[in-house]
Parts: sequence; structure tokens; C-alpha cells
Amino acid sequence: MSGMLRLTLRTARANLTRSLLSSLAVVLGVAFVAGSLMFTDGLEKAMTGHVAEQYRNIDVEVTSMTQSSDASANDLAARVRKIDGVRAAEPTWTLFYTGLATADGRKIAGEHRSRTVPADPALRSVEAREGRLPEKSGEVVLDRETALREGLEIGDKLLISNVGGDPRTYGLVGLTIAEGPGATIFMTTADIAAMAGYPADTVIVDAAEGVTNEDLAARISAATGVEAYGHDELVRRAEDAAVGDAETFRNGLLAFGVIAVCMAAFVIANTFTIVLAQRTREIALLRLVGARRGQVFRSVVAEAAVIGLGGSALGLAVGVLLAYGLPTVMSSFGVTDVSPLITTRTLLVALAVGVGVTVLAALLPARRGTAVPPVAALSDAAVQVARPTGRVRRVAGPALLAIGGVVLAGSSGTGRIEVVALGAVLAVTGFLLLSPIAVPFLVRVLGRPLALLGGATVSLALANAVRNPRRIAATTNALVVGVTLIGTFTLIAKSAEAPAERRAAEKMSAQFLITDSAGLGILPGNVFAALAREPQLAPARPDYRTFDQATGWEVHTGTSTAVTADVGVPVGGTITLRGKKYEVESIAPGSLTVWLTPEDITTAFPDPTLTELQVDPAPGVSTTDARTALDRALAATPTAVAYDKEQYAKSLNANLNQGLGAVTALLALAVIIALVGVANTLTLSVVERTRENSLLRAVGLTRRQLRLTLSAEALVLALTGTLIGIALSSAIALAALRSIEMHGRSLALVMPWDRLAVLLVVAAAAALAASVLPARRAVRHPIAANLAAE
Amino acid sequence: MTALQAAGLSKVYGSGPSAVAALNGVDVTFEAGRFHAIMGASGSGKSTLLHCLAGLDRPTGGSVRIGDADLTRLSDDKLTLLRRDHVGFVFQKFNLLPVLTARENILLPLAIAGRRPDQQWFDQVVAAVGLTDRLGHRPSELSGGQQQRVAVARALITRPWVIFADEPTGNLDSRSGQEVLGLLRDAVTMLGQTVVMVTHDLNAAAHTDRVAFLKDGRFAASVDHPTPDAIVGVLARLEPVR
Ligand SMILES: Nc1ncnc2c1ncn2[C@@H]1O[C@H](COP(=O)(O)OP(=O)(O)OP(=O)(O)O)[C@@H](O)[C@H]1O
Ligand SMILES: [Mg+2]
Repeated sequence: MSGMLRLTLRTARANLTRSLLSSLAVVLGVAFVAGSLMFTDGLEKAMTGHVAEQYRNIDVEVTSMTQSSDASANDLAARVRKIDGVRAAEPTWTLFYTGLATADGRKIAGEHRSRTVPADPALRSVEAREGRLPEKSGEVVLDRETALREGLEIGDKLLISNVGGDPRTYGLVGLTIAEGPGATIFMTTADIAAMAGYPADTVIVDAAEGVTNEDLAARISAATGVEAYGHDELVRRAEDAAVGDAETFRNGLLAFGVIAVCMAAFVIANTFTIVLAQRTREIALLRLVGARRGQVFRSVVAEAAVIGLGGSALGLAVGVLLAYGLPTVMSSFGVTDVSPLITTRTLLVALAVGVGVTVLAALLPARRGTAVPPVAALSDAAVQVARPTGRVRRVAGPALLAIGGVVLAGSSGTGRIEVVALGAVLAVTGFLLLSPIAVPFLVRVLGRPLALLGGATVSLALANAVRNPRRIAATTNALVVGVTLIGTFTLIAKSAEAPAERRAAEKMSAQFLITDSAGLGILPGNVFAALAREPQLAPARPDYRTFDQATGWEVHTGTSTAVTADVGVPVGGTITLRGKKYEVESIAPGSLTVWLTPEDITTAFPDPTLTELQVDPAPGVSTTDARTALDRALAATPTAVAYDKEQYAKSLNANLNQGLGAVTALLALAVIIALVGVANTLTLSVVERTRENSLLRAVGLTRRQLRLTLSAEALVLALTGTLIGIALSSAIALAALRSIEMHGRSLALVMPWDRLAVLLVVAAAAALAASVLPARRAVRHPIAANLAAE
Repeated sequence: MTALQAAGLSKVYGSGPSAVAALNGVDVTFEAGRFHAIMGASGSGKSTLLHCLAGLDRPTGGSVRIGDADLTRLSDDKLTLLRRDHVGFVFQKFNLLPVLTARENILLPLAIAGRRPDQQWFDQVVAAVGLTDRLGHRPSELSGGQQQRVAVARALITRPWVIFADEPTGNLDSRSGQEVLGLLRDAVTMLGQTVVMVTHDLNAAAHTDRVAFLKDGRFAASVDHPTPDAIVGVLARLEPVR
């Protein structure tokens, strides 16, 4: 081992706290990247495994892609059966948006699917994990997760219906594994055919002895003109899709990983800058005794590599924990039953990221920090003089900020989110360049009221905070970027959410709205009758839709007869639908649509689609009683849900909220790393100010007051960073909202003050927490020893 | 009147075989309103004694009284408040906070206590140390002598019971050193302060009213109204040249 390297390792060990601090950011970044990889690898394996399972006993699958007319599809299975080499063939259905409820009418929410259990055991890929498979009509099996979650047991009765269809009661005879986020239900071919109400477009085939799956698939294709694939091809295709899904998911997670790693780089660079500044004398001494600058530089870079290596190893360990934790977070997306997979690739990527980021981040600080003239060892550099802000920064900073602002303002109405992104990047970069000037200024401004409240200790904290503009800027910048990211997402999401309440209010003329849970706009017709039987409800107003084959007009429900202009009939004229005449009372916007009263629609059309219903309580009946009556009326219809205005607005925003929650959780990591940076800076400052703090204690600062100064310093740093981030994100969100339109209107910026307040409070609390350890360290030092120390 | 009294004071650093007894049962009293010096060879325990007397460090045994307060019985907070309100300090170097101006450094003990300064007293102190036109400067913009004068002003601003100084002239050229000593002398003569100063410098010690000598952590001798010759005599007796 070379002498210099030994020195490096000794320094790293001697400065263990500092090394640990700088590595904490690496640990978090690497942990996230490694955890994401381990989890998505596991996910991919689980998903492809499921796929192979699902095609276990299918030799050939025939799928008619085109929507076939009743006759041809009906005999597809029959036609396939006649082909030479087919031992057995059966039609199968997979129905989505299945409604599911317990026998007493308790609805089970989720995206459920129903699948077929073929009659011929040789065609079955599903198997019962508990109980048995359905053998006759009226029997079903359900996936185990749903059964467990909902407390269902074999022998229970279930209400199941296709969307828009009437429900039927089934007995639960067995449990199997889940295939998707909601429940997976298996039933007999006869039952599912009846529930679907349309012929199957898929036929599964069992090949006879002596014919390969591929040959048979080709033969079937040729004979029927419908696409058919052999087993291997089917599995390959489905696996590709699954891998693609996992890949998309992985890329999404890794994007956040990149953000976290960049954040870590920020923090590491800042930590190294501070540490090297504090070691100026030590380095100068090395130079004095003859070390060349390159040697010192290399030893610092080697130290970074050692720290990066240690951080990566720790990060991998934390990543494993994270990978086991992720499924709980992701379970809302239907990801269950995934065990993380640790591959060599993950290990290598984690090490490369950890070491690479640390070394790269340390390069610039190392170059600057080792450019110390030997004579510096002799001078009494008690206080480090901060380099003044360079001209480039002073010119380029405001310029970029201004250009970014102009671009953001100019993006209004363009509908181009790229322009907004460009403006945002320019403005943020401009701010970051300007930060050594702007941040101390803002800290002084923001700190003034605090200083008035807190007196000398807080004033001292402020003076300490701004003593090194670059350091404080670098510290808050990480926070600024993190908060800007979270803030922008939150503001845009919350602004997009606000119109939902308006839409709910516009749409709902009655107290309750009844729709199907999938939001497809298809309700079973008998819901209307069921509501009419409840005396505690006023007569419901149904919304029917249908299509008139003869004229090609859409038929919607209105309060009177209306037409769109392109129907070509003026007010007072008459239109004829299915032999009945209606007088046009008004013209409405839209195209090729007529509006009739519900009664007119039900008399004229045999089977209009009931999309939704609105209903009020009967006169004199309380909302609660009406709600009870409503739930009773809908108990037998698993697909129907009743909303009041608030619930409806919530349901409109459900996806948005779920997405925002996930994004916020992932971006929180970036903010946590930034707060680690705050703790780093504080700890290093405490080390640097050991003697000053002792002096303060000597002239009468109590331990509590000393802790208070550090807390105050942390607090102003965190508050400044957070407020700047909120300000930047407001500007970006405003520009983004102005550039796009939603539902025909541009969106107003909604400031979710409650969430922003939470963000501030969390940042403040975290900063206070971050100051605890440094403060402990500061007050623990014996006063006399430090005053005497050189 | 006794301003400061130590009885059976001992201080042991470390434990076990590596333990060092820096003070070994020191009994000493310091009269109020006088200028005291503490002298002794390097390592004889001067700084340790000063730190224990000033409540900056806790002795291992014995007691220290400032006025009517027994320092060894005070909690850390009480001790801190006592230092803040009734004790002044001038160290050899690093006396000042680099982020504060001279004015803020002088007012630091009052600011910490949240007390308003007595403007007249402030002006008087600042005039005495000759810093009137330097108040807005940071320590890095002041010479070593000016920095020490700021430190003396800070020590005086609370009108403390005792001012402690550990080699206050150690880092200064002889002229600046003289000025600082003159200030401390004036504080005693004109303002009636009590000053306890550790020094190696014969001339500095000759400014004082009384010199106490330490040897191997013990009180060894004292000289009233010392002259340089008298001091050299005692030192020679205590540390015979080998
Ligand atoms: N923190 C400490 N830990 C261990 N030993 C110490 C410590 N501080 C001082 N000592 C020891 O105590 C003894 C007295 O030290 P002190 O600093 O009081 O001497 P001094 O008389 O002020 O010397 P000088 O004239 O060199 O300043 C010395 O032997 C010293 O090594
Ligand atoms: Mg000493």
C-alpha cells in the first residue's frame, strides 16, 4: 500500500463521523436504486410466472380480433372442433368490471374479473388451492387474497353480475390464486356465457396426439381465417407484455432513483467542500512537508471512493429492506405476492452508482480544496474566508432566471408542456446560480421576525447561518430542488382536482347519483324499479342512452325534446323516431344527437341503456334514512354505487389522488436526502465552531441557549429552502396550468394551503430533529479543554 | 475583603495509570479590588487553576468561592449564569466571535442575558479601551492588540466581580501588550475591579499587586507589590537551573 493511500484510509477513519455523514446521502440514494431493481426484478419474475401458469394446458388459442356477428362466432368453437388434429376445443370468456357483493348486499370494491373453467379437465389451467373447482352451474371459486381480505369462506354465497347485467347468487366452492389487482372469479362455461350475454371471441384448443401445437395453430388459422397461436407463442407474447409492464414500472421507479441520486450528489459535494475547507491547514501541512498537489488530490478522491464503497454496501442492505417494504406501498396498484430478487446486475449497479456518484461529486471540491499553498499552514486561518460569488454567476444567474420567467409566462395557452418544462429548468438553474447571493439575503429577511422573537441567540444563529454564503446556498439548494419537485406535482394535481367538485355540482341535480362502480355508464335496468319500490325515496330520474339505427342519431335523456343543429330540424318542427313523431322544443350544442324525456325513450326503444340515476329523499325524509333505503334498494346490484356530491367528486379524483400519493412518497426521498444535507452542514459547522461555542459558553450562554441557536439555524435553513421551493413550484405550476386546458377550460391555480403548511411543518420538524445530534455534540464539549485547544 | 477563594483544590485529568494531577490541593485567596498574577513553570497548572476558579472546569476535589457563591455546588446552568453576570474573561487568543462586530462582541454577555446595555457605561468602557471608531468592524478586520482590547471591554461591560485573564499579552508585541496591561491596571485602580491574570511575562507580572506562584500543581509562594527582580528571585528558588 502506498504511503498516501494509507494516509487516506487513516484520515477517513479518523474522521469517521464526517465520513459516515457524507455516506448517509449515498446510502439513501443507492438503497432506493437497489431496492427498486430488486423489487421490479421480483415483480417481473412473479408476473411472467403467472403468465406461464395461465397457459399451462392450452395448446392453441384462437382469437377473433374483429367483433364478429353472432352467428359466425357462435360456431367458431364448432368449426375449430372439426379440424383434424383438434382433440377438444371450448369457448372461453374473460369478463372485466364484474360486480361482486356478499349475499347480504355488502359490495366489494375493485376491478374484478371473471374467467371460465373449461368443462374438459385437459383444457383447464386453473386449479383450486383450497376446496374444488366449480362443477355445475351456480358454483364459483375466488382468489385467496380477496377471500382473506373480505372474510369469505368456502360455502358462502356471493352476488355476482356482469356490468349492466342482473346479478345472480353463486356458492363459493374453492379458492385459487389472483391474476390482477381486484378479485379473480372462475365459473363454469355455461354460467359465464349466460353472464356475458355475447358469444366468446376466444376458443382454446387441446391438440390430439401426433400434431405439434404450431402446426395445429397454422392449420386452424388457414381453415377459419382467424388468428391462432401455439402454446409457446402464447406464453412468449404474454411474457413480453408482462416484462414490458415490469419494465415500464421499473423505469418509472428509476426516474425517481435518478432524482434521489442527483440529490445525494449535491449533498456529497457540499459535504466534501466543507470538510476540505476545514482541513485546509492539514492539507497545507502535507504540502509543506513535500506532498505534491496531485498526490493530495488523489488521496482525497481515494477517500471519496472508500466512502462511496462503504455507502453502497450499506445502501444495498437498506435497499433489501426497502424492496420488501415496497410491495406494501404498491399494493394499491394490485401488486401482491412479489418477493424481491437480488441479482448480480443489481449488486454491480448499486456499487457503480454509489462509488461513481461519490467520486464524481467529490472531484470539483477536491480540485478546489487541494489548491492550497503550503504557506497556508503557517497562517492563522481561524475563519475560512468564503470565495466571493463569481461574475459568471452574478450575470448568468439573473439572466437565466429572467429568461426562464419569460418562457414560463409565454407558455400560456400554447398547450405545450415542454415549453413549461424548459422555462422551469431555466428558472431553477438561474436561481441555483444566484443562490449564494439570494439565499443569505432571504435568510436575513425571513430570520428577522424570528430574531425579534428569539433575541440574541437567534440573531447569533442567523449570523452563523449566513457567514458562508456558498455553504448555506449549497445546503438549501438541495432542499429547494426537492421541495420544488414535490410542490409542483402537488399544486398541479390539486388544481386539476378542484374542477371535479364543480363538475360534481354541475352534474348532480339531486342529492344522490347512482352509477356503476367502473364508471362505464351501464346500469342494469332493474335498478330503476328497485328504487321505485322504496317509499323513502322520491321518484328517481333516470338517464337513458341509445342509438337509433334508422337515422344514425344518438338518443340522450333530457327534460324536453331537443336536437342538435346538424339534425336539421328547427324549433317547432317534428322529428320521427321508430315511427313516433316528436315536436322539437329547443336546439342544443353537440352533433347528431336528440334528447327525449325518459318516458319517451322507454316507450320508443325496447332496450335503452340506463347510464345513471339521480334521486332525492322523499319529502320529509332525512338524508340518513334515504341513504339507508338507497343502500337497501341497491343491495342486490353489486355493480351499482350511490354517491352524494362529496363522494362523487372524490371518486372522480380517486386515481389522481392515488397517483399524487405515490409520487409524493417517492419524491419525499429527495427531500429526506436534502434534510440529511442540512444535518451534515450543521454537524460540520459545529465541529468547525467548537472553540467559538466554548467561548460563548464561557461568557454565559447556557446549554439550552446553545441548543437553541443550532435549532434556530437549522430552522431558518429549512424554512428558507422550503419557501423558495414553494415559490418556484407555484410559478411552474401556474405556467403549466395556463398552458393546458382540461374539459374545455383552463385550470386556475389552487393553492392547497393545508398541504403546503404540512410540508413546511414537516421540513421544520425534520430540521429541528436534524439539529439534535450536532447540538448534543456542541454542548457536550468541555469548555476549558476547547478554549485551550489549538 | 476576599473576592475569590480556593480551598484544597485538586484536579486530576484522566484515570488509572495515565492520570495526571494538574492541581494538587491548592489553597489560595484573592483580595477584592486588586490585580493578581499567577505564575509558574509551563505545566505547573496555572491555566487549570484559572479554569477551575472561573467555573469553566469542575475541580476533582476542594472548593471555590466567588463572592458568596460556592462554585462546586452550582448546577451547570447556575454556573453559566454566574459566569455571564459576574465573571469576565480575556484569553490568550480566539477571544471573539468572527461573525459579530466589535460592538456586538463587547455587548455579547448582555445580549445573551437579554439585557439592555447601560449606554453611559458602554461609552466609558469603549473610550477607555480606545475603540470608539472601530466598533463596526469584525475581528478579522482588527489587529491582535485591538482584538484583545475588545476582549477587555467585553470583560468590563457587565461590571463583573472578577475578571480572569490567561496570558492576555502572550500573542501581542510589547507595545500592544503594555496597552492591554494598562487597561487591566486601570480597571483595578479606577473602577475597583478584581483581576486575576496568568502570565509568563515578568514585566506583566510587575504591573500587578500580588503574584501567586504554582509548582507542580501546588501553591508555592506569593509576593506582594512585586518587582521584576523579586519575581526572578522566587522563580529561581522554585525552579533551580540545572
Ligand atoms: N485536558 C487535559 N487532559 C490531560 N491533561 C491535561 C489537560 N489539560 C492540562 N493537562 C495537564 O495538566 C497539567 C497542567 O496543565 P496547565 O495547562 O494547567 O499548565 P500551565 O501551567 O497553564 O502551562 P503553560 O504555561 O504551558 O500554559 C499539565 O501537565 C498538562 O499536561
Ligand atoms: Mg496555560
